[in-house]
Amino acid sequence: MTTTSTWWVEPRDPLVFGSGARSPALAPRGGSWLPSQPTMAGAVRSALIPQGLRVGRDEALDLLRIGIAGPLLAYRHEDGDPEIWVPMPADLSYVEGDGDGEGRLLRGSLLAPRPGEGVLGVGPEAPPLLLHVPAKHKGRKAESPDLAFWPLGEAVRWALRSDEPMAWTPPKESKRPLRREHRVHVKIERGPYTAEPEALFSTPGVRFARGFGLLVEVRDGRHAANATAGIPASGRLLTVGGEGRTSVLTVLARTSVPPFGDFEEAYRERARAIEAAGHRPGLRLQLLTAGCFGTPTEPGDWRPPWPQELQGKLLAAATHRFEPVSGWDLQNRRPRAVRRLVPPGAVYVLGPFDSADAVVELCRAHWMKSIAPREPMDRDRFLAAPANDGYGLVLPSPYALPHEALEALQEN
Amino acid sequence: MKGWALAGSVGPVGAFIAAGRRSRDLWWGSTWASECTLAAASRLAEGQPGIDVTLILPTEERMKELSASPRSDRYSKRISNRLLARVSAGSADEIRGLAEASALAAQRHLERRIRDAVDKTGEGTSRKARAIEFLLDKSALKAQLDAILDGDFVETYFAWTPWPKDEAHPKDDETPVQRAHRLLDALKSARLFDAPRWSEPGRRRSDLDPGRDSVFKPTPDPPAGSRRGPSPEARLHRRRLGIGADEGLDAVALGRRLALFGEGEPQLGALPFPPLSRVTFDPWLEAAGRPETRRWLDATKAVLDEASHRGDETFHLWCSPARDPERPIERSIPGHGRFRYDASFLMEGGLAALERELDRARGADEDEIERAQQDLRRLSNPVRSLHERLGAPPPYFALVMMDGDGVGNRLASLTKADELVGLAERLYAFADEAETIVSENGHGCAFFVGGDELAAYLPLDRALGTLLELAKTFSTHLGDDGLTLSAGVAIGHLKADLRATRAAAHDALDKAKARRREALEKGDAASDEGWLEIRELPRSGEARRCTGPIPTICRDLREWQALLLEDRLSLRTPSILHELVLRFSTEDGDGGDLGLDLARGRIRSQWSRSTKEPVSERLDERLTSASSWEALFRLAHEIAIAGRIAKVHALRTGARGGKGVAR
Repeated sequence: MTTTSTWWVEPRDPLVFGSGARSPALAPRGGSWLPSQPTMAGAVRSALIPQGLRVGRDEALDLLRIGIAGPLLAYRHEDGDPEIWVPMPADLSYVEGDGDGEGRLLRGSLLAPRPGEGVLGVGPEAPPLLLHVPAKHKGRKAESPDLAFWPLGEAVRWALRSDEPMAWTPPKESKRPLRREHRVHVKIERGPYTAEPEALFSTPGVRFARGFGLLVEVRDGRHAANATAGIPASGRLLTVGGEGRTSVLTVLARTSVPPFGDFEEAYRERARAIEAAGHRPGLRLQLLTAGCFGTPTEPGDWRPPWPQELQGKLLAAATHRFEPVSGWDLQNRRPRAVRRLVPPGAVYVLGPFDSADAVVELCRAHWMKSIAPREPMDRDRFLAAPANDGYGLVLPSPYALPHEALEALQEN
Repeated sequence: MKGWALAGSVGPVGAFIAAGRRSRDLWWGSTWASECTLAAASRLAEGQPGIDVTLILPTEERMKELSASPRSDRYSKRISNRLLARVSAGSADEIRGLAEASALAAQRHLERRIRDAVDKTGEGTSRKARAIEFLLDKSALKAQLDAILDGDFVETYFAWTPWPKDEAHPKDDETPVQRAHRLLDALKSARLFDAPRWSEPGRRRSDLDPGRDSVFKPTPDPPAGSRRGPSPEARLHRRRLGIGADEGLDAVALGRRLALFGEGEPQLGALPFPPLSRVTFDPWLEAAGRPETRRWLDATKAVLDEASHRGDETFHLWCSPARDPERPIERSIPGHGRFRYDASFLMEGGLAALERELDRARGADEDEIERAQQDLRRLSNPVRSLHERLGAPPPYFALVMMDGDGVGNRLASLTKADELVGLAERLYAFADEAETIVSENGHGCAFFVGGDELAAYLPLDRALGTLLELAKTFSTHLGDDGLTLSAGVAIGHLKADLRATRAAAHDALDKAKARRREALEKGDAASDEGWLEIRELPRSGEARRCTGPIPTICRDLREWQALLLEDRLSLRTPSILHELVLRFSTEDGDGGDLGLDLARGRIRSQWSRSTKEPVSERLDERLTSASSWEALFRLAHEIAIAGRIAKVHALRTGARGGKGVAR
């Protein structure tokens, strides 16, 4: 039997997340703001180990049946329902306003190579269309916004808008939900009690503003015999990330992910507007957690193991640089092999689909769910199926596919 | 045959250069990045049957120059990672074939460079060869080299678009170069990366690239509860190769570290550039070359020369020699010979730390360690005497990153091939002069100069003058194109993580360019100049920063520096300003006119009390024009930064220095 619960994790101190490098590590510029999927899944599974249980091979494999969705950043006022904040998508750029004036968010647009044009990238073949994110607006330079997250409502509003720039002002530094901290450490040598050579290093921490925390949906699918720990009590401490930094865990009475129904009308309206404007309906998927889409069978082969209805539909993508993750295999007592993750915020455009209604149904089916593989678990390496570690959570939305772009595709 | 514009880029520049903990990582990273671009460009220039290529970036002239000169000359000349060509071919598919061949040439070049560096270091029966044998997992290295050939590291992107027959009157609103760059930008954000081509469970990660495994043999687990770290033998082998006691390196990082030993006389390589510590301590070494202290500097150098000329590998256990092109630096100690060595041992406690490090390796090769420690003991008297007279060398240096403003746009706006080539040639002319300015005038090391991009480290007191000179030279070559050069400078500690200092300099450059753009949009005349942001990264406390047009910032910092050295301004001034800002400013930065007047009054009265003179004209002007707490805060930071520079300047020139600036 599978039990589900929603965990609200409120960090008491700045959290320290590994960057894939061994400690002492220096946080990469623009590195992760939230714990990686294995870090969060590991923290949840550790919290659910019954007291006194010695985790052997079988118990470890059973723990991998505990799945998470998240972590998502959220803001919770007192005891109210948390408001979800999601990563800003990779298909937008921001241009500052005059002085203190409002800035603008600019939307990426599909770019189809014309006859006689071509591109050659690295790794797997690029998708047939390109997503061009504006680097300029009226002579001004546009860039990825500094702010990494915004409320889910804003993200949906952005996803359902048409292509005009959207007025937007980033919050001031002091009002941001997350801030980076670097702590300088000195390794002291015994004897002279001075710093060891090359022993000055810093570790990165992420400080959560008051009221902000992590929201994780937990599905416990362990065999009943092992699942004696049940749902932990609210108020207990949970260790997330490195350096033993603690967070307070609260188990919420109900899920905090708003149902698709809350947005359905707006989604239908947008999908119909796309058709009415003479475009073909497409689907835009924005990753809310990192993507882990498996290993290709041969170089250049990139067929993500997405759900069946999305297979072969990829038209364009906008992603930032990959994030490596490895981790520690406790059972085999060794580091794991490196996996390259698609960073949260990545955007995929798929299509074309038959009708606006079909796209809305796809949005309903994938609303805040994972598109990562649900099977198999790697029993030798003690790795859960990617979806069980919370990879590949998406925010879907309808997307306008201009006929010209699709025609150019045909011509090429 | 039809014409196409072909744009390309070779990277990842960040991974080549940013992941550097030592100056040699930066230097070979940027050298190899440039060489990979050159290899890709050379393959493009060769063309294919039925395809003619006219290179625009790099220009054919530049290619000839680089291909003709011996490698040591080429080291000072680099090219940026951008490729641009006009191609005549029968079809677009033929261009794809050429682009693929060009990408492969870049991958092959890097693979060969790494293999050469490792093979040459491991040749014969030398100690370094034994170290390679001890540390390196050859199968892991081979797997990563194979992965490089499979496209796992070098990222080469190409986009091509038809070039209109009438190039003066393109049909579209975009020029072919603009269109090709738009396709290229969009392609770069469509990365469908897959898993690393080679990574195994059980291997530790590389410290310089967490996305790749270390190619060292796994070390046995230490006994439970042990905090001893690597064995003496492992420590000794690592020191021999310039690898930290606890570092794990992937193939590219290892290649960069060993490239030193793979050139010239095998295993006894000398750095072909002045190392960071040598550049940082340049003012101190110049001071040490004065008559009253020269004998101790001579004694220090004699030990280094002897150890270096002994011709064995022991010297590399604690120091690295440097060879050309460090010629300008030798002249920085007037009347004195060369000081072409890594100078880290001159730091406070540096010799003792090295001795302790060598002690930890005892038991591995007693003779070698004893010989190295004897050298260190011989250095202890002269170095102590120098420290007693001059103090320990100031450990701060300036890491400078510069970039032309709007160069990409200018290139993209040109429609004729000869105009594009002309602009590229002017950029190269600047790059060649820039390298000389940094080394000759600045006593620094430009580890990357490619067209309008420059990265260098400089002694702190020479940074401002060098920046001004570079901006002036850029204007001479490219002023008529309406282009300017902006800069970001990080003032960092020699022992701080170089990656963090480089990242701060990079951020500072971004901010400087953004502020310049804002000035441009407001129609501010200051946007006619390149802009500069300086960030001082002290070992404790928050970073200080100042931003503005290069000439204005340099002039003001020099003014504060002079006033501090003359004892007319004191470092108490920034501290008073800071205190007032904290006391009066509100969250929105507005403390009201009364608060600002009070602050101005405090500074003026402090000046009058201590100097009995009217306030300096420039300081008075800055106080009067400061209309916000932010402006006063910036002024406080400027004076504090000037104080840091003034100390180093006083050391070099022998100036007495004012209170708080005195050595």
